[in-house]
Amino acid sequence: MRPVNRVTVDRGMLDIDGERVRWLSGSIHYWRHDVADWPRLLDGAREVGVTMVDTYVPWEVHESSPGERDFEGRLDIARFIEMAGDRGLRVSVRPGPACGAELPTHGYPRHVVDQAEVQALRCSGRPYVLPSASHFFKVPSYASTRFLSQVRSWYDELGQRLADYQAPGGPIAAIQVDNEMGFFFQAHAYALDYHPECLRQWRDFVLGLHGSLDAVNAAYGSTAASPADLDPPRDGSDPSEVRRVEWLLFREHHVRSTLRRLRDALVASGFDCVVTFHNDYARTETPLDQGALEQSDTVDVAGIDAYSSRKGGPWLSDIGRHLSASSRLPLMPELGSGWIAMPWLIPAAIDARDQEMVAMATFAAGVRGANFYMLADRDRWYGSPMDIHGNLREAQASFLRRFREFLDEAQLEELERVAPLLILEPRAEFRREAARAVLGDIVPAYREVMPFDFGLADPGSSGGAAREWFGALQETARRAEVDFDLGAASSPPCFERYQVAAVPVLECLDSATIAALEASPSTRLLVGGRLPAKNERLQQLGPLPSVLILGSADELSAHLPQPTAWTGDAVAAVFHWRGAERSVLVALNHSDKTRQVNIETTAEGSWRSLWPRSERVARDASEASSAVLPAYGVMAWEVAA
Amino acid sequence: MIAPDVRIEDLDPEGFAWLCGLAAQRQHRPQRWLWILHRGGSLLGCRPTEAREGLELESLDLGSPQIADTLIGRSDYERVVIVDGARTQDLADALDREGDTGRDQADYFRACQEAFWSSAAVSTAPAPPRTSTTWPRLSEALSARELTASCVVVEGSDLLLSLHAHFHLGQLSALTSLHDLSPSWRSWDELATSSSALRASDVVVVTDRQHVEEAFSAADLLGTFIESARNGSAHFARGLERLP
Repeated sequence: MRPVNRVTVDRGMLDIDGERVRWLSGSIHYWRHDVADWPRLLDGAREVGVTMVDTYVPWEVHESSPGERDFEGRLDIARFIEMAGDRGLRVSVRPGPACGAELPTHGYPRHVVDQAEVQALRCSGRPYVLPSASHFFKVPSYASTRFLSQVRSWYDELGQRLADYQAPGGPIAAIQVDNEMGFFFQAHAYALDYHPECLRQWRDFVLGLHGSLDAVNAAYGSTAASPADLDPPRDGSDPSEVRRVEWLLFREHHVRSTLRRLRDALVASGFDCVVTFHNDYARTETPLDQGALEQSDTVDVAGIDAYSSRKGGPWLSDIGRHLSASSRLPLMPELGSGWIAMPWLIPAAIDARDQEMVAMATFAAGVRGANFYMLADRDRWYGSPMDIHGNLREAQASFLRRFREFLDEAQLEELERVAPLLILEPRAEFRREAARAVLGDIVPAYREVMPFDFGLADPGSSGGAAREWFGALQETARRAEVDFDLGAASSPPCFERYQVAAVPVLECLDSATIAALEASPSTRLLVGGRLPAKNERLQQLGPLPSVLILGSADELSAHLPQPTAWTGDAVAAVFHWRGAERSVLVALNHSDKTRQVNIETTAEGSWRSLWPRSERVARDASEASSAVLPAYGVMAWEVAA
Repeated sequence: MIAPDVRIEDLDPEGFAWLCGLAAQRQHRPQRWLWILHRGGSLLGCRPTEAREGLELESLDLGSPQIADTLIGRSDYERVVIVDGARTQDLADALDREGDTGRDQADYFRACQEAFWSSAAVSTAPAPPRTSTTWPRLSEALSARELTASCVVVEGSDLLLSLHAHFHLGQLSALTSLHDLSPSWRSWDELATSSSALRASDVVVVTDRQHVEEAFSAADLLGTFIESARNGSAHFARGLERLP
């Protein structure tokens, strides 16, 4: 039984022994700065308004030789945490084992990943080489008992050193379990992991699904004489579609069960008072299922990382919609601030002008907490709100101060975003597409490794009828200016929050969605395409609760309620947060031109500008508000009786 | 693609962001390439997908050695790449070999790309693109040296970017920006000597935005930049004779 956390989640914020704390943090990598700069860095963090500082605690850096761990000087993480606490800052720690962070071996000690027996294997049985920002290495298998026992040793050491710094007595409020787990960005169905211990887990999984070896053989068309003879699919040409789809279900299960093991190890190591969280990389498809992480009690909070310029506003809002549906504290554990100093690897840049859209597009769509990654420049990162010594860059620093003020004034946590529609990603259909992938032995994680078009080898990444339906349903809602949440059909939110739910179906529908509908008969489920005949395991479905069939995505509009805030502008979006006595409206201009936008709403009362400045607006409540939004600009208002 | 011990820190954010933008444009120049994947002649897929019907791909002998040339002649694609999924074993073997050599990342990436274009699974028209050789050339020339190099890029009288690099045995070992440059100058000589790091650098180039952008448009980026700096395009240059 897990101990009762002293830190919990309450209405989208952290509750630290009765005190509600907004999760607004910034990353500072203590080991990459002179100790003499730590005070200025932490002072800077407090000055720009974050409530927490976030840091990896990289195993690779602390243990450069087997069994020899260093926690002195720049590596004195305990001292860093104390200094943060002295300034009233909470701390979020990320002990890995994976970190990324442009470290040579991703956070794992080199001597650990060089052990052949812990290395993950490709479908050919060979190790998988991952280029990091500075070097490349063979990735470990998270099924490897030997690997996990070494991780546990690392966790135990940290527990001895840091557990006493947990809230409420200490600054540590949250701990992240691993980092962006998901087969090292290799979403290709048959790239990883064929390590013998992973295959043993797969065999246990499918035997659990089917009940017996005979049943597995019948389902797969195989003739295995014993469980050890069961062989997984290694390519999309495998003749058994059931085996291929269940292999993808296993990969999703493997991510969850491994994270749960690591979470339990952290708790057993002493981190039993703080909120546990995880961060998916920006992918909302197999092998990741962010909603399922919370539903299965794998972690307390499951977030999604995102890096984008201001041009990515709509995409960022979609991430916010996804988190809003599926998380008790919609969190972005890495919200890009500054950029990697490796222009030839992942060319992009996020500067001060981007920061506004990045932050507002996500929070307007439902995000409640974020960690700005990075708050301070360091090795291989530039353009953050502080330079490497802790000197503030005023353009970004003033944005952060103003953003904190906005959040405190708007108090979105006391309101509900008006989003009466839920659109579900048809995971069962997407898995079928992904299960047709080929060439798993050569498809790399990064295109820079090899000039190969990923879409050719992985049809799930490049289109298909289900994906077209999914996009078209969203487009219909956008045209109607009815806001929506996005969920996964494999881990849907409670339907009672929504008036209407819609999901594309070609043939399959996840049984979790059917169960959610049965639990909430008042919600209308609209199915785009056809009545589902099979579930996610391609088994025939029995009688279904009542659903409505849409002949086209356009037909969705007839089932939608009237919008409560609208602009009539195709490239501007407005989000409406509503409470008993006040509303907050956030308008975003997603074009590269200044636009005059007319905002209309059912909210009544006097208007007050919240963003970019807080000031009273002379406006008659019966008139539409005409706002001039600069290119990629944002404005926000409170409307109160 | 930098070796693991290289420190890249304290970069001027605006200027380096501009440089990253140039690199991004260079890396992601729009390409009209046709990609075809087949397995022993049976079409598995193509990108863009409309080419399937437009070029009647399913009626063609995709395993034929001349097929890439045929298709490039029938279409307006810049390049046709045909991959036979039944013959990628040599490519997988090559990727494994390259991952075991312990060479640096730049060489690893280059070797993987060369392995792809020379694989029996891949046929393409026109002839495969040349992989970059700029860095090995510089590394070879500098292999016995310790060298510091600085570059200052201006736009009119405004400072756009400064970079200060250390090279050790031919490899970049540190990269940063110059933070003690004079904000105004009356001559290029004055600018080039206003910073202690600039004064101590073995190689110094002070040039303008246009010169850098032109170099990023050229096939041999670094060679073009160095050569044009030598030939008078730079406002100030010192020590270029040390470079190949």
